[in-house]
Amino acid sequence: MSDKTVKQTILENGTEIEGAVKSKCAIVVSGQIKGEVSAPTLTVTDTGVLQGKVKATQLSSQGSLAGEIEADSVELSGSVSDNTIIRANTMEVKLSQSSGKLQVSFGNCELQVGDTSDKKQPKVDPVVAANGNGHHPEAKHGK
Amino acid sequence: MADYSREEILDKVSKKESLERADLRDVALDRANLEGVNLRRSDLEGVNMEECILRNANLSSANLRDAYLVRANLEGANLQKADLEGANLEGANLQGADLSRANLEGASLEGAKLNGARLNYAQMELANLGGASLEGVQLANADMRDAYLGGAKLSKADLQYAQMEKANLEEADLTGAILRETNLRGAYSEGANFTNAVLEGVIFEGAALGRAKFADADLRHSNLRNATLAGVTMTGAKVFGVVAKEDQWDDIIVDWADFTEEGDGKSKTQGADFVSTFQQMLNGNGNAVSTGASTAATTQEQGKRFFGKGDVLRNATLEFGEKSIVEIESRFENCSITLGDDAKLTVGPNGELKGCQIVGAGEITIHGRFMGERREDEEGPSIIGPKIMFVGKSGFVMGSIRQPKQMTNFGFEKGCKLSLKIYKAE
Repeated sequence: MSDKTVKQTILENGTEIEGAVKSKCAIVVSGQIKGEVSAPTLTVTDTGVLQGKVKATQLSSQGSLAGEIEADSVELSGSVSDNTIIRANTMEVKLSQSSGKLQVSFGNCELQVGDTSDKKQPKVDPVVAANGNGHHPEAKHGK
Repeated sequence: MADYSREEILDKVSKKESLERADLRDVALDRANLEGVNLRRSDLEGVNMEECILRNANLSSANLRDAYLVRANLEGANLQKADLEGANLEGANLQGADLSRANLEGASLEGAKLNGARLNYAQMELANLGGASLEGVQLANADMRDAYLGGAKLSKADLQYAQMEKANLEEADLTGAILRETNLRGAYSEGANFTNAVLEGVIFEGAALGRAKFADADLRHSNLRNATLAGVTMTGAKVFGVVAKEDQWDDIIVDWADFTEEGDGKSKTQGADFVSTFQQMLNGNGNAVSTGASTAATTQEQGKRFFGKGDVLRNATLEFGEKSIVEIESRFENCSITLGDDAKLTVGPNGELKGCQIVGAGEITIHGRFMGERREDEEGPSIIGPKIMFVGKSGFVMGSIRQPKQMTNFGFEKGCKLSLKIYKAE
């Protein structure tokens, strides 16, 4: 067997987790996570709910997001709840072509995307950014 | 194998029998007298019909691709929806013929007579109409992109809404022609005569118009950006809302022009004051835009407006009606913009809106910069109630949006920059 198989953590619909989830492999959320979540790749399906402090390199959501989201790149559809902040280097939201159906419904929220002059840069967890090898790059350089 | 021989065809014509849907390919019909024949939906692809008499014939929906119709007489013929792609109609007589929705793509009509013919919605891309007589012809909505009309006689022709991008109209005579909202972008029209023509809302952007005559022409709201205007005659022209740069008028011939919105010729601006008056029109005042002044170009009744690069508008209140189309490449500072239902506002890559507020159920597209952050403390969110909010990859939006009750349809292209607070409807 090849060990090239992509490892991913799948949280199925009907499952709820409350607390901290930190993973070196991708997470697919079809259920509900409340708390701190970090992973290199996070996929929230249309039944998924992600709520809390989220850090990822890539975040793709078709479900519901709430809380403080930080990612390098974000692809968004589904919904964004009230009091949510999303910080990202890049964000993509496709304009809905069908009338009456929105790609994303935004509650009262804040988006910080890209290098805006007087705003802080999006910050991504370096552990997550380290290609899932589990080593903190700063620790590696002895800082 | 054709359905009939030449002799059989002539026999049928003499008996006034129909040849509808007949397959007549490969039959030589040159110089044949087929006056009044019914050839509806017949197949005449590539047939030699040189000097053929087809007066008042019914050739609607016929296949005449690559047919050889040099000097044929098609006066009064019905050629609606006929396929004449690549056909040779040089010197043909098509006066009073009906060619509505016909396909004449790449056809040669050099020196043909088309006076009074109907060519509405015809496909004439790359057609050669050099020196053709087209007086009073109906070409509304025709597609004449890249067509050659050098020296063509088009006086009193109806060319409304035609697509004539990159067409060649060198030395063509368009006296009294109607070209309302015709697209002549990049057209080569040196020496063309537009005297007394209706040119409202025409797009002449990037066109070569040197030595063209616009005497008494109605150019209101036309777009002449980047068009070459050396030696152009403008005496008596109506120029309200024309989009151009003042240095484009350096070498024009003008005794007087009409700068009024009404364009009734009652108010004459002397030639010596042309450039300064044009400059005043460009500068306008904040409220002038709603009447079409400043750099705005209204090309449709419901309002299509363009604010060009390099201009600055400060502290203005702008209201755009229902279904208006507004494009901004200028810099707006502290302006209040109201959009009517389904109005489309696009901030182009060079456009910049600073301290502005946009209100209304419009569709907003940002490819440039929108910095409305100051407004929130003063007058609420910087954008209120948009139906659509799209930020392109080069777009930068800093500010806040209050969505309407039906919520906003958002679109963000990868690469855009946002510092944006989004609020639900109150």
